[in-house]
Amino acid sequence: MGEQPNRMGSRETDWVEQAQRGDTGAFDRLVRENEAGVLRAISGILGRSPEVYDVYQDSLVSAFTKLRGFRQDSSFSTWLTRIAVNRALNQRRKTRNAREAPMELAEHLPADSRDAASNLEQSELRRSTERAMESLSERERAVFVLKHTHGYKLREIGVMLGCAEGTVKNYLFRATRKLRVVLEPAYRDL
Amino acid sequence: MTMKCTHDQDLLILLQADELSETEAASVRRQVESCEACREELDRLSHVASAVVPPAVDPDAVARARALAYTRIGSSWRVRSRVMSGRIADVLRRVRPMPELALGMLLVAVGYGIGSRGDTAPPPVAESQMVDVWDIEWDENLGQAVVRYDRPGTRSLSGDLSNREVAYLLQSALLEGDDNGIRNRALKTVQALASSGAPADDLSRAITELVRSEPQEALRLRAIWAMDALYESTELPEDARDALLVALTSDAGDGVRIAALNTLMAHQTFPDDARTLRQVMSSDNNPYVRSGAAETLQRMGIPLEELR
Ligand SMILES: [Zn+2]
Repeated sequence: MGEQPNRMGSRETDWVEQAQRGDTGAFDRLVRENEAGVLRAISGILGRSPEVYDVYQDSLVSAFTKLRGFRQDSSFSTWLTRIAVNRALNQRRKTRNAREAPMELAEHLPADSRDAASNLEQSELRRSTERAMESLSERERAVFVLKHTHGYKLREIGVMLGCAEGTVKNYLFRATRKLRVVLEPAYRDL
Repeated sequence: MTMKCTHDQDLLILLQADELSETEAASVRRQVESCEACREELDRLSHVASAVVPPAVDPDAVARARALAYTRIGSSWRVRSRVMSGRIADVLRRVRPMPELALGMLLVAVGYGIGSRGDTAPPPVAESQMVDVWDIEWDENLGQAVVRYDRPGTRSLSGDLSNREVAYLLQSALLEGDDNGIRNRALKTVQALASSGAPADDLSRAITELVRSEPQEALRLRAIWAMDALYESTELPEDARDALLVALTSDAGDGVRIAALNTLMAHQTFPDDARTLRQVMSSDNNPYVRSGAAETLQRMGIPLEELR
C-alpha cells in the first residue's frame, strides 16, 4: 500500500486491519469515529424520515460484510459514506413520496431580517426552499450535501457516486442555481 | 479603463466550493475585487451554501440502529467465534500434525459447510480478536438482566424490562440471535423479569414469533413459559392467544402442547376456543393434553355429557 490518504493515519489503518480479521470492537471504533458525518450524508439525502435509521443500519451491516474487500485506497470515512450515500439514493428512489421536506432552511438569516419578515413570509420562504430541494434530483441533492456539509472534493464525490468529476461539477452547478433562485427573496431582505 | 468582466457564475461557484487551483482562485478573486456584481453574486452563493442543512438526527434512534446492525453482524459471528475459540482451538492443539484437516472436519460438523476442503479457508483469526458483540443473561443475585459487551472498555449494562435498552436487546437476541444459547438466555431473562414492567409490544411480538416458528422444541417451550410469566396478571394479546392455540393443536412437542394448554387455561377462554379444545380432547395422542382440554371445556361451562 503506497500512500495513506486518510487523516487519521496509522490508527485508522490498524483498526481497519483488526476489523477485517473479525474484530467487531475495532469496527465499532471506526463506526463511532465516523458516525456523525455518515448520518449527515444520509439525512441530507432522505430528510427528516425514519428511513434514515434503517439506511444507517443497513449501511453498517453492508460495510462489515464488504470490509475485507476494502483496500484502504481511500479513508474509511469516504468508503463508509459512499456505501451509505448509495443506499440512501436507492432508498429515495424506492419511496419518492416526499411527505417530509428533505432539508430545512437553516436559521442562518440574521436576527433583524427574521424579525422584519412576517411569520407568513418566513413560512412561505421555508416552503419554497423545501420545494426547491424537492425539485433537485437525488444526485444533485447528494452532491450539494456532500460538498457543502461534508466538504468533500468533487473528485471524491465522483468516486462515491460512480460518475466522472465533470458530471459531479454539473450537478453542483445545477443544484446551486436552482437553490439560488429560490433563496433570492431571502437574500434581498438582508 | 477596467477590463470587461465576464461575470462567470460557474467560476464563482467553484471558488465558493473551494474547487479551484491556487492560481485560478487568485485570478477569480482579483476579478471579484474589481467587479461589484461578482462580489454580490459570490455573497449570494455562500448564502445558498449555508442555507440548507441536513435535519438533525435523534441520537436514541441512531443508537438503536447501530445496536441492531451489530446484532445482525454479531449473529453471524457469534457462533463462529464461540466454536472457533473454544472447541476448534482445543482440537487444534491436540491434533497439531494435521490442523487443517481437523479444522475442515469440524467446520463441516458444525454446519459451516466448507464444501470441499481448501475451497474457502476459515478466517485466520486469533482467539483474542474474536469478539462477541454482546451477550445477555439473567443475574440472580442482582435480580436484573445483565448485558455484557465483549469489548474492552465497554461497560456492561443491567436493568429490568422497564429499561428500554434492555428490553430492546432482549427482543434483538430473540429475533436475531443465530445461536440457541443466546435465545435461551434471553427467554430465561424475560421469564425472570416478567413482573418488572409491562411487556413492550416488540418484546411480546418477538416471543409470540418464537412460539410460532422457533425450530428448537426446548426454546418454543421456554417461549411459552416466558409468555405465561409476562401475562400472569393481564389478558393475553390476541396474537399470543392465536399462537398458543396453534401450538396446542399442531406442535410436535408434548411438553409444548401441555404448556400452551396451561397458559390458555390460566387466562380467559372464548366460546370459539371450544371447537379447538374438543378437537384436542378427542385426538391428541398425549393423555395429559386430552384431559387438560376436557378440564378446560368443563370450566368453560360446557357440560361433560355434551362433550362425549
Ligand atoms: Zn463580474
